[in-house]
Amino acid sequence: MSEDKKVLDLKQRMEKIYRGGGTKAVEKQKAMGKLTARERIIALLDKDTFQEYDIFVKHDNTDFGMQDKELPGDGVIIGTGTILGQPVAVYAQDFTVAGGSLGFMHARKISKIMDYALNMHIPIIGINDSGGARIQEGVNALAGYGEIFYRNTISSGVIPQLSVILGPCAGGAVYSPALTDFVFVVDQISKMFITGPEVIKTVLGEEISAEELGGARVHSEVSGNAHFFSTSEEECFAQIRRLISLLPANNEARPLPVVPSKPKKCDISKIVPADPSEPYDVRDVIRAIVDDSAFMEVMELFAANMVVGFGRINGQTVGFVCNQPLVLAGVLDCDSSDKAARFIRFCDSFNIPIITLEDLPGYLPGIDQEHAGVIRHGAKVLYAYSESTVPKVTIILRKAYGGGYIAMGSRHLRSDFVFAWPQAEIAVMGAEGAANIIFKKDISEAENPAEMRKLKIQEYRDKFANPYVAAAKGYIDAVIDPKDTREFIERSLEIAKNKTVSRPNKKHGLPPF
Amino acid sequence: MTQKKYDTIRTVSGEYRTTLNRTYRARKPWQPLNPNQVRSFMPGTVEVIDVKVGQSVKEGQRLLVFRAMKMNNNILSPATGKVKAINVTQGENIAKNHIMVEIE
Repeated sequence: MSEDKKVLDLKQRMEKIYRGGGTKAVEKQKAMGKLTARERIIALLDKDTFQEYDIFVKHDNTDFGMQDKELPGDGVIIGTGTILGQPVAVYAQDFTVAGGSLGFMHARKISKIMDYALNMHIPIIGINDSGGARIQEGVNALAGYGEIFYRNTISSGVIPQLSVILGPCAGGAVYSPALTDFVFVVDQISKMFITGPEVIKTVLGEEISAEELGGARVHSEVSGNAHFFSTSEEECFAQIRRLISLLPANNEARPLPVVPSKPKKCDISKIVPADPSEPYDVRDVIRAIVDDSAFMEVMELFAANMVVGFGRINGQTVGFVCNQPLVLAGVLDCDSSDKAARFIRFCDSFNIPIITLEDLPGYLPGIDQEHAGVIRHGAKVLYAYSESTVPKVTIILRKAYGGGYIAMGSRHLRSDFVFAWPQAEIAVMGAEGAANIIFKKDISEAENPAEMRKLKIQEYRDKFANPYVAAAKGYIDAVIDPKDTREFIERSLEIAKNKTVSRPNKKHGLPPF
Repeated sequence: MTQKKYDTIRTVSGEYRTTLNRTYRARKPWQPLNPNQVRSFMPGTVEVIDVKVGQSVKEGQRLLVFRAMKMNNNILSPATGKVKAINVTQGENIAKNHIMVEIE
């Protein structure tokens, strides 16, 4: 063959693989409202930056008639490219090829791109769309999963790992996304479960649809397995691109700064009602602080009593951890503690300063909470704040009571800067509860107990429901005018830029997992 | 902003106007466990029934063989007493938390 013919031959070979599982399978994929694996990668990455590897990889299974089966790329596409100029590694399972099933070579391709990502210190994005293990390959398929999980774990905290669920992701396969930092799901397309509806029906006799069992909404709202919810694949890719732009490439880098901008005009002091029992949306406060009022919320639907997410201040990425009085009065409970703790640890791993906006009445009382282990879950927040060494700024907007005050980035857990608004109430508990305990006798023995209770609540409120008791002890650094909040954060971050903390040598700590 | 309708939540610190999420609404009220009721700990099949209604049993005596997740489990009597009721038949598929046997 001449040179030209050889190139032509190469192109023909590639063309054949580009067709994936064939016209029929592709049509079926489209009918489900899904893009093909290749289309997804193209849509996700910057134009013409995708570089593919291992396109000619073949499986070597000879059992159950598999020797006659040709599986293009062994059902997965791997490669590298850029997102907004930042290099990333990516893989996408191809559902049109044997249902995206994971065989030994398929797993080896994924492992290879994961090794690339770790060695090059760049984020990895995995697009999952697979029926599960390739049963014909038996234990070799299981070995493949194990290799992926191991790499997920070793890469954890070194490079950002993103999982995108664009189809089924069932059985053991779910544990790769679960080990990564952020999971993206799309309504009606994503399905994640350990045991699917069929198994549940045959084994347990319970009927449930795949969507109700492990659809995008369930994982975003109830289980907390997913971090970003969207209604189309396009929206999902836009979310991924935005997130990548906010994150550093690895744990030794900082997020790339952008040109600073001011938040949109709004009167920050008008957002929080003076009455501590009136709700408001804490995200309005965030938007009044961050550049361009742009806030990217993480886990928006799950444990909405805690708001976490990314924004920028003076062009630099920061992470927000905020109580949300709009939902469950912003209490700490099992779910919100999990959510906050994990987010804090992510920020700490990737050099992202943490801004805490605090307004909570404490922990959620209840038998269900106690039995679900709110002690163990709540402790995660304490652990995560104490352990983190990135710059930490806490703003007490209004209520900071009891255990909640300690947990939410207090001075005692080594927040670098703690500021309070003048209407802040920093106390062991709310005036109502405290008065009922401290003045129990005065109230019960009074001629008019209701009147006396009111009086004593007011007495307590006047004395303790303010920031000045804590300020007198130096537990907070300053009481600030709400209008100056952004400036105080800006300056604090500037001062803390070169913060270093030394810690005793250890293999690893033991957070209450 | 229009005036929204809010729910109320009680904490040690007082009452707060707020909204409730799906998980909070789905909470199940707690019920104390009755030690004399033998319940299925997961869904499964009753393979063998060793006892009859009215029969005296000793604590630790086998009442049933209950097959769940490919495993035969010996279900033992939680107390010494009489079998008050047997609410399952041999070969029956039962759901989780079903009261299989009651002792008095």
